[in-house]
Amino acid sequence: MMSPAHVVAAGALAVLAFDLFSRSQPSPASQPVEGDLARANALSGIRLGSVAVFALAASLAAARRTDAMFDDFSFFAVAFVLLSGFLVLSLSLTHFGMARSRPAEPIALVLFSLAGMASAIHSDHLLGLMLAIELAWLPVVALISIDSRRLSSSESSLKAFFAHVLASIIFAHGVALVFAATGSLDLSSLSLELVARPMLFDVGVTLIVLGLLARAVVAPFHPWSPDVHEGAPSFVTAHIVMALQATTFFVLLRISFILSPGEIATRLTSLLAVLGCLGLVWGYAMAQVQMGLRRLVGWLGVGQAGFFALALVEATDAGGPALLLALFAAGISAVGVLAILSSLSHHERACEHVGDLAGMMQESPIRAALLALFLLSLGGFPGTVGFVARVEILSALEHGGHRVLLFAGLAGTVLALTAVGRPLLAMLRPAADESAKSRALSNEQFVLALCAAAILYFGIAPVFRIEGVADVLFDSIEAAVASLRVVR
Amino acid sequence: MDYAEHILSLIVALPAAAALVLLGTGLLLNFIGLRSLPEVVWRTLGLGVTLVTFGLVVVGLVFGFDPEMLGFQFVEVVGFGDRFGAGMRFGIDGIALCFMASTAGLVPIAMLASEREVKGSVRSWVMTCLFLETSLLGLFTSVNFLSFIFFWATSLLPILLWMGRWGGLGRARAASRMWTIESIGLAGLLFVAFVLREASLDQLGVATFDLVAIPGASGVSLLDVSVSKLDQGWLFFVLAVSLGTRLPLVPLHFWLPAAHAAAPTGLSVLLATGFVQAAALGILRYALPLFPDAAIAAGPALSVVGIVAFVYASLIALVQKELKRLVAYTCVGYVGFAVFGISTLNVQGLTGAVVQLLTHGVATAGLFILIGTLALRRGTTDVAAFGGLAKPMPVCAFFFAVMVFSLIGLPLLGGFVGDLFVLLGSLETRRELSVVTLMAMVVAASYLLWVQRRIFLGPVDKPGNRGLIDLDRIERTLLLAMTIPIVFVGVYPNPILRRVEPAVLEILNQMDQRATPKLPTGSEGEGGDEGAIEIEVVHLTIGLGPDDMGRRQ
Repeated sequence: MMSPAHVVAAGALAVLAFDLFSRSQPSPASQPVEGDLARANALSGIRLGSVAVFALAASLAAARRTDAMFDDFSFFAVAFVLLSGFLVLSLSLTHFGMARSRPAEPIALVLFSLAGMASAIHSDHLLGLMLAIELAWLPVVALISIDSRRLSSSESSLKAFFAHVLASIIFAHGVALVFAATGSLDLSSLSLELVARPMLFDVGVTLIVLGLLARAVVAPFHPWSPDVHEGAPSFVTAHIVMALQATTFFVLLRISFILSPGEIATRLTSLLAVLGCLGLVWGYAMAQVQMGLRRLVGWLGVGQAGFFALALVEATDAGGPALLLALFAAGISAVGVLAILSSLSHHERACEHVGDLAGMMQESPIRAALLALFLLSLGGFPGTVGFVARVEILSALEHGGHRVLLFAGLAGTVLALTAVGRPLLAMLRPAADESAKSRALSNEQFVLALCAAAILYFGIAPVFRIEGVADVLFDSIEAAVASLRVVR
Repeated sequence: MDYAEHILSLIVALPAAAALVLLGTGLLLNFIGLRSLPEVVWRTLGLGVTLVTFGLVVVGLVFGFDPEMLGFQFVEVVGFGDRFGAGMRFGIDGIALCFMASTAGLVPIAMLASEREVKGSVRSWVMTCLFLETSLLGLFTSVNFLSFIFFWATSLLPILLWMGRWGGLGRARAASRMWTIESIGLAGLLFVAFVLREASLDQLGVATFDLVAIPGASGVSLLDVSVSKLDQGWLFFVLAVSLGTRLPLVPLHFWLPAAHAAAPTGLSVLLATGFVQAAALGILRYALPLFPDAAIAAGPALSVVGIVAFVYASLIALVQKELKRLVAYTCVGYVGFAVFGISTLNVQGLTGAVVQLLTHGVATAGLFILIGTLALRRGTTDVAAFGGLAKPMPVCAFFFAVMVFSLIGLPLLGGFVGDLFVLLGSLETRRELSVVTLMAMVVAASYLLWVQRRIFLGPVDKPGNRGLIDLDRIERTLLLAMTIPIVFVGVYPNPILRRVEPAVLEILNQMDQRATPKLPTGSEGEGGDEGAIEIEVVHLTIGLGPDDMGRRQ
């Protein structure tokens, strides 16, 4: 029976094949003008996107049917990744509509990356995990440089590539050392308590975790991330912050359960706490001084990653569910912000700086309100799902007796709120000039509506105890973590 | 559905629900190709909703409230949030009732006062006002700490929007300062919430943020949680600082003068009343009963902070050249005075602080409206630009005098009652500091009287002040609506006292039950512990007949 990864990969191949056979040769006499090309690309993007979405839906069905291979955690994680893929593909239509690239390659690359993620999530073999992560990452490195008209796109792609190489080297060394110590490459070998060469084993496990943290934008492995936010198209950034980062944390969560309650787990907890605090403070502090909007979102992401790392400190207790909820919250909030930025940048005068938001409240109040909502959720403001997730993480830390980490988390929240306050207040200022205004496209409106509804609904539902979809999410999270406990 | 049982949630939700309905109607009209609702309709409907809300508060709460009953009334559970121990729990005591009535009454006044300043985006402005009213009323009614934090945070957004979008010069800087300090306050509140939640989980087996044990909900409350003296100390400190950011307590006040200077008139009205009262309510409702030992220990320090704030703000106000900033420092000073009243931890002091927050809030709000009218006519709020305005604007001068006299505590005006009770309270427990307070009151009175003389008395020596038009009908109505309660409370304060006093007694009872050393009652020399509360009751009834006294005791 085909796994979701196979189905998604087949979908990617189908997209490429579909594009190959449906491509018509333009006659030399009639060179298409830019507007026609954009329309053709957009239509082609919709057609191929439909194929891709069909592949995602089929893979989700496959995940549900392959019960034997999939525990609840894997299903939750794969569903999460596929949902993010759906949002990313919706957002990518803007890119194609602006005639910046032909749609088949980016869509196929996104699908290949999703296939790698789905594979990594339920991989039970260290080498398989490594290959799956490579498959998830390499298409993204190519995607980052897809906007060939911008130098920053190529530059950031190169940085992401080097970061990826560094992470791969660390991870590979870790795998090699664990193999040397245990003679096994099974993921379950990480739980061995008695090994022939414990020193090698400890170093190996630490390197594996560090290799994963390096991909998860946890400080100090983060410097490439703000650059990528600045250089890559919005849909690629959305793919990175929602799917790629989340996948790494899914794997880390699984490994945390495998390691616990061993001695190495205790030592890694200290490492996670230190790196989490570092990322939290570093990311949010740097976000205070960013003038570029995309870089600001990037640094907020670094701070969020610090929070995720803190959740891993209590991963096997209340931190696990908190982490899953936080990944969901941060993902949809960041995608919402990126969708807004995408919608504001249709014209040549792109909205790239905090000051460019001036006048937004008058010119387009709905988008201003939505951007405020997404930013507030990223900052952990009450009434949003970001707040609920943050409460869960901080509660888990307090419950685990980590009061210093609780202080750090609250300090990080203050920094995050002050950082998101700048664009919020900038929107209230009057515009300096009558600049070109752009409307959100239908695909962007769809993504915005979905993200805003989710942020508000899941932010308010727990307070008012509204039953329904909220329970489905929270119950799924509980079931996912429970399945990890069973495995342990 | 029994609407009487859900009166609080109805009142809290009404403005926000109306805002959403108005928004939906506007969008629907746009969608089907019709013209959107005209601005005047938005203004009228928005104002109508706030008036209906006020009517509901008066009819449903003020008339339905039992002043003899201790504890919270109209307690209501909206949803049964058990995920975090959160959930909407509504309930009011006499203090919250007074603050609610004041705020619900002042929101329409604030809207009318700001009407001429709001140019453009009227729909957004009306929605902002309505959401702000919901969040402020939600703050007063929350008897769950997490829902209190929820409304605390959500009340900030409409205020920032109002200031940032429709404010004057320096609004960006003011909004930025406010956002920063409020973020710190929010984090502090969350910290206290986490610690209390964990303590309740440990001790009661249930995570709760409820202040009232509600059958059918968690069934336990935070008052069942015992906190060690050491923990109480720093939790009280964090909570006081967090709430002090909004009060605002010196030295956390730095955002307020800038905010008032940049804020439109209507927003200044609400900043001086509902916003401040919500923070004070937080201290009375959460900080004192939950951490009684720390509150008793911190009493002298709080007194000093309050007095320092009062003196400092009075001295700074003396050198202000801009009217809005001057009145803003007046607010800071009188908040310090209220904190001094709270720090006495006796019935007179606490009641005086509540009445003082009510009446001084209304008086400073009135001053802001008057300054707004002067700014509208003269184009400036510099003190030096005015002089001799009593001739061209006698009605304005009259209302200004009423507000100033109330602020300095002239008998038969509202301010006197609050000041009197705070001083009575302080004479029992902080006798030495009450002398300093009296001196500070003289300084405060002197600068207020100076500013009144500078603006309204003397010759009309500036050409721009000649021929200024006096208050129009709407302005007179607004100020009359604010003068009536000031005079009413000054002449006949008992209806307020009868409602505030049981709530204060309940707070002190809770503190007394939870505190390790029993509260100093001030009655040790008169026959022991049990007489304390009765003696306080005698102190607090002005002009009540023997029947009332007997019934209460």
